[in-house]
Amino acid sequence: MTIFSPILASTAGHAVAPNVTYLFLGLLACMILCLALEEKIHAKKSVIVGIFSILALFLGAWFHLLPFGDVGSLVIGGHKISMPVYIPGVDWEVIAIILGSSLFVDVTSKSGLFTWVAVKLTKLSKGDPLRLLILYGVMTVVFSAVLNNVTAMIIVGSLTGVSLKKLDRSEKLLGFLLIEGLLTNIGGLLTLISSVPNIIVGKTAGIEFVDFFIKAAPYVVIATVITLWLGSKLFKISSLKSDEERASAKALVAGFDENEGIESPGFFRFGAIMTFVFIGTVAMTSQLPVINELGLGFVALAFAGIMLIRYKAVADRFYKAIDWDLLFFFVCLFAVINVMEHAQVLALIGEWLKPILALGDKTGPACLLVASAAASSVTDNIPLAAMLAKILGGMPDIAANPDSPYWWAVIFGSNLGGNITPIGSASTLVSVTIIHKYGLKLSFAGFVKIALPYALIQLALGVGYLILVS
Amino acid sequence: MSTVDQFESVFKAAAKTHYVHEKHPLGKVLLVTDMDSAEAALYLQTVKTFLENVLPESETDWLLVSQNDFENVKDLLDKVEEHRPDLVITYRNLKSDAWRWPYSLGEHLDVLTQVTSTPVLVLPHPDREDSTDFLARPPETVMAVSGHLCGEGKLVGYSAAFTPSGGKLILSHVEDEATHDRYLAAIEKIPEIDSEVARETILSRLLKDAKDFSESAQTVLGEADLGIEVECHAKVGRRLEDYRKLIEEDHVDLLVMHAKEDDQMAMHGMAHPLAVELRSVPLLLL
Repeated sequence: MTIFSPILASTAGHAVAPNVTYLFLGLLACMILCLALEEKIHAKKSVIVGIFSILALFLGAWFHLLPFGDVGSLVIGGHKISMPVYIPGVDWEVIAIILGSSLFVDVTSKSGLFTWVAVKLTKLSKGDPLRLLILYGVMTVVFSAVLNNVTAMIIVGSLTGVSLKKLDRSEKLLGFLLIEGLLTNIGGLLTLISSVPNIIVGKTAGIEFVDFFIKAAPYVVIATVITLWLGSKLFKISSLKSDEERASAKALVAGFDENEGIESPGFFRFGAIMTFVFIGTVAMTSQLPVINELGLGFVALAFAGIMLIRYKAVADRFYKAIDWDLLFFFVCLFAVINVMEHAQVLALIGEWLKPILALGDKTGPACLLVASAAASSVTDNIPLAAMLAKILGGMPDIAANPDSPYWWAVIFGSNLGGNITPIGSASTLVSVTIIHKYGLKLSFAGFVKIALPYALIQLALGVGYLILVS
Repeated sequence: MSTVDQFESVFKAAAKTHYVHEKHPLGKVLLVTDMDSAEAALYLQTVKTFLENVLPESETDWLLVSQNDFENVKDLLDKVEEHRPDLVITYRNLKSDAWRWPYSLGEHLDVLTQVTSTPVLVLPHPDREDSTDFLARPPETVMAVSGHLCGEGKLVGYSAAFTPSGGKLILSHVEDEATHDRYLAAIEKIPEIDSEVARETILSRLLKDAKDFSESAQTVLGEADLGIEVECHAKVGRRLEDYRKLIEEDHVDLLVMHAKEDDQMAMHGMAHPLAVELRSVPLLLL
């Protein structure tokens, strides 16, 4: 995973008393439960996982599980480096990708590029509800794939609220927002950097950006079409019937000015070019000399840095806008998982997974996909992806094969599980937040009731696709 | 990461209100005076001449209500109901000499402007010494007045209808400085809102909405080929004082403004002080 992982892995084989392993397993279960109840206990993810990382590190040190000796005398490039025991366990590449890409997206959004695209598509729909649903759906998927699914939901969701109000079709808002929320997790499957589970699992498995895209794209296209078709039927979103209605809707959307969000045409063009170059560079990272050694994290941070030149005097405004809760959550989560590895908890869960893996290359991944989706639906999909990536990475047959269907089972399961409940993924949570912002009532059970048919179809499709391509 | 609110703001700003040109009927005009029949007939000719460019004789059906046709407000309202005109033309303080003091429009006009949906054109009182001067020259420069111009299609439509070909239409929007300062003072006491950002952006946003709508009206009226010049004045200031300045600077011949408000019985916001105090300029109250 990181350059430090082999060192840590060598200490993971220490004998650990079973009761100590179960104690840490209990701690892990409590953390996952608290994450599932995040809204109820009114605590941010970073605080929950932060508290558990403090406990895990303290108990890890108490039971002499942590490799103080190794991290105290690391030799890198001939230099002896000493660092705290909780630092090497963090996958800094993942942190760099998330930090860099979110900063890049945030600064680029100031160019007005994403709002320009969104408004152009709104005008292209001519105000026809069905055409609007299709265009917004495709936009959600593409934005989720290129940016990330939370930003995609924020952009498309906020535009949906404004445009449906302008078109006097607020009664369709719930349907639109829900379908868009579900599509963020479909779009989140399209590229290696679309969602955090993809980044974590893809990095651990060594899946290249282009390979990831080629394998995920057919499923994403089919699942998007089916979700939009089902959504239009269940929410009764149809085309306008009369010429008068069409003319009126066209006039209303014509009032949108796509250039409103563009402060500087020069920066707009620069933002557009940089977005394409960023995607191209991310896709080609493994092939580009020098860049391939520096990795995706460097690419993301470098592009964010270049974009920040435009706002060099007020760069601190963008630093303030960074989702520090998410970043601290990751750092602490990696620390917890590292302790769990030393406490043999991951090995224990790996043992429990063996019956699933023994089901063969077709049934095994299918069962793992469904199990991952079920687990992701009730708690955060990131700890699950991080944990399973670590467990699968410890299995030599799977670790050596980036094309193993087990990696894809975790990727599909952790992404699609987010569509079963509103707490299953950050982007569906954003969609519910926007729904509530517009005064629409949607309870947890109400969401599950509406979203379940979509989620079941998407999961069945995922299982079928995995069996077909594995 | 950017929030829902930030993107929503950009999209709300992008969802602009455009002016849609509608022709308002002005074929039937009722002139209400408190003069006797003979004087009223002469006054009618003066008014017809004054408005001949915008209300041509051939296209307009003129009706006259004079001194003996009404005793009180109810009678006047009944006359308006009976004739159902497209426009009422009158002057302030009917059947009263209170027109000499700039404190009211008179009971008839106060009620008439609120009860009927018909626009009322208020001319300078005929007993003013300079009254004939005002009506001697047909209006060439018309000013639409609003504190929130964006979306005021009816106001722009009527203003355009009263601007003769070759004339000038000024769409004016004055943001009240005192109200703006009061909000900023409140914002400065709220830690969650960046006072500097508020100071820089609120006013420019308010004026931009008005300018955008005016520009849209300028384009649409140009396409309608009415032969009128459209200008936009959006500024911040002390409303009454600044309107007075604008009227003087631009030699405005007719002022158009809304007089009714959905949620109140009294005259619309700035309309009352303007209508009461600007006694030498003809006013079209919608």
